[in-house]
Amino acid sequence: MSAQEHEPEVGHIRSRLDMKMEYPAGLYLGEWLRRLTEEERILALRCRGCGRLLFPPQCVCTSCHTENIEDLDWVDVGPEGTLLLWIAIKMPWLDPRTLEFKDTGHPVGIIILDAPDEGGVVYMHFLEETDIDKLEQGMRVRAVFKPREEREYFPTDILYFRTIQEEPGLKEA
Amino acid sequence: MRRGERSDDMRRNVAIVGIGMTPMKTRWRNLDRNELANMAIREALDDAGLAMTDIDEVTLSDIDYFTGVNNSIMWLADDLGAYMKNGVKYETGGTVGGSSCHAAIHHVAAAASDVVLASATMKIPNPPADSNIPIGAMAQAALSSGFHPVWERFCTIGAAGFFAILASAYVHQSGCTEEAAAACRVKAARNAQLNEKAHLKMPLTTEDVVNSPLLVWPLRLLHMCPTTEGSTAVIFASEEKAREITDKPVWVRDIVTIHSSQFYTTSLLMTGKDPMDSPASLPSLVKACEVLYGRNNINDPVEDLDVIEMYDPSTWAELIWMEDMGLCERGGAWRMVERGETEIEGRIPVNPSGGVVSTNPGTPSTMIRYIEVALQIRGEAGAHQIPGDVRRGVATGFGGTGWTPMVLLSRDLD
Repeated sequence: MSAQEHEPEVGHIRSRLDMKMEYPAGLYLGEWLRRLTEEERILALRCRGCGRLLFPPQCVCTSCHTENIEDLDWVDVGPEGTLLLWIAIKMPWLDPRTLEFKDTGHPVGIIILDAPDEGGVVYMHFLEETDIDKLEQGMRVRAVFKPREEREYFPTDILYFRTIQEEPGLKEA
Repeated sequence: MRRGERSDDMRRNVAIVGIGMTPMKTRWRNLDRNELANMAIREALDDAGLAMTDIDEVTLSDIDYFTGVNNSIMWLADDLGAYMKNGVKYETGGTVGGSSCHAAIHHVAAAASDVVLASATMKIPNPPADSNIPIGAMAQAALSSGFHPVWERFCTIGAAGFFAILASAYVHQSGCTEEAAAACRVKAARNAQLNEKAHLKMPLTTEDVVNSPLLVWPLRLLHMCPTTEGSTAVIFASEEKAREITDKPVWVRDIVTIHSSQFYTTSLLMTGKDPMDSPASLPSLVKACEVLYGRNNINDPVEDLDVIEMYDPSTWAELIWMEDMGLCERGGAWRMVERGETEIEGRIPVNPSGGVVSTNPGTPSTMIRYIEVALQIRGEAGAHQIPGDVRRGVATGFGGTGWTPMVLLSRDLD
């Protein structure tokens, strides 16, 4: 279609608001991204005030407002976890990062990453399994990382979480 | 005085004395925002029998990202009547129609102003005809931009994704079927048809709902609110002024706003020690009810309230949030809907207006909830008026912030 066919009618004025921008990840998420991409580690920060795991890691604790600055207590969580919930995208989806339509085909999972001394930490990411009928609450999953040369210091350096088979008897142990 | 007691916030009694609301529809094609705002404001002034010279202060609600205009207090100043007056703009996402009311109420209660007008308008800049981006996708992208750019944005799908997560949790926990959830949407459609200002007024059957397209499994198109344009205005006044202005003041008995945490996944699901075992819930709503019920001797909301207008962007949210509001036990909301207890004639009518799932102009959506409770108390809700005595009711708000603003309105001061 030519542009002329879609000239706005009189009284409807065209405008654009496209802007490219960069967000600083900040000191804590910046460190989290560096360790994720370079070391394939998923880290939480234990609050020095209340002991709660901060995930994502951040300076100020949500609950007790302690400022965690010195002697940071980084704790490994994941890369395995348990599937709690999932959703499957069936609509045209505009990726707000790029303003391009995106169709990964992968459901989004709410995953409880294994964490020491806690019920786990909540993480949201894609699942490898595209057939939602094969998903079950309580399934064990594990992060699959992108090939190193494709990584970009972003959470999508984890491609998705893959369903893993528990060894028999392990879960009870 | 005990901290958190109502009178700490409410040193003077405050009443709603004027209400204005345009019809709500997909598009007010040729009106600009000012013209739309003016329609509701004139109606509110007429309703109160006031002129703009009687208004001390104007509070404006807006969601800039949706309207494509920054500094809207400047854009709208003339039509709001804010010229040379006190005026502040509030920007708190979908809760903002409540936030601007709370600001107005606080200012009157604190004797900073006697009569305050709160205004909320949604006029969406449409994607042009040659754009490949439909309005729904545009709205989802705008909503997704509210999520954290590093942590959550890459795999969130705006409001639809958020409510799909809640729906998914609710399905697992409550045994609610698709058909049972659809019954709640059918109730909303039935009520909206009785509300001349509502947006979606089509009759719906359970089959229509369960056969509507999936947006984000398990959430379907008809479980989700539309994008709507329209405007609302409410005038608040001190007790002394209210008694001069009107013989039908609706008293603001209490307000509360509870904030959520920054990250959606954690704020939604970290309600218990074990996230695998946490109920589907909006924690800020649970807390808001605890505070507001506690301060106002509401022990059983079903018995102690006559109407609830809840900000229900999705049918699934309405069910889950009924439980958060203590209307029934966990997992019991869909059965309560099935029994007809939340119908207009039911034990505790929820959203007799048809709710947000029928009409969602965003900026005014929370204000519409407040207005609808006030209209019910006045007995002026028209065809969707609850039969019998409507003495007091609560309204809630919701938005991209995950906050809960909430108001308790009453016909009488005691």
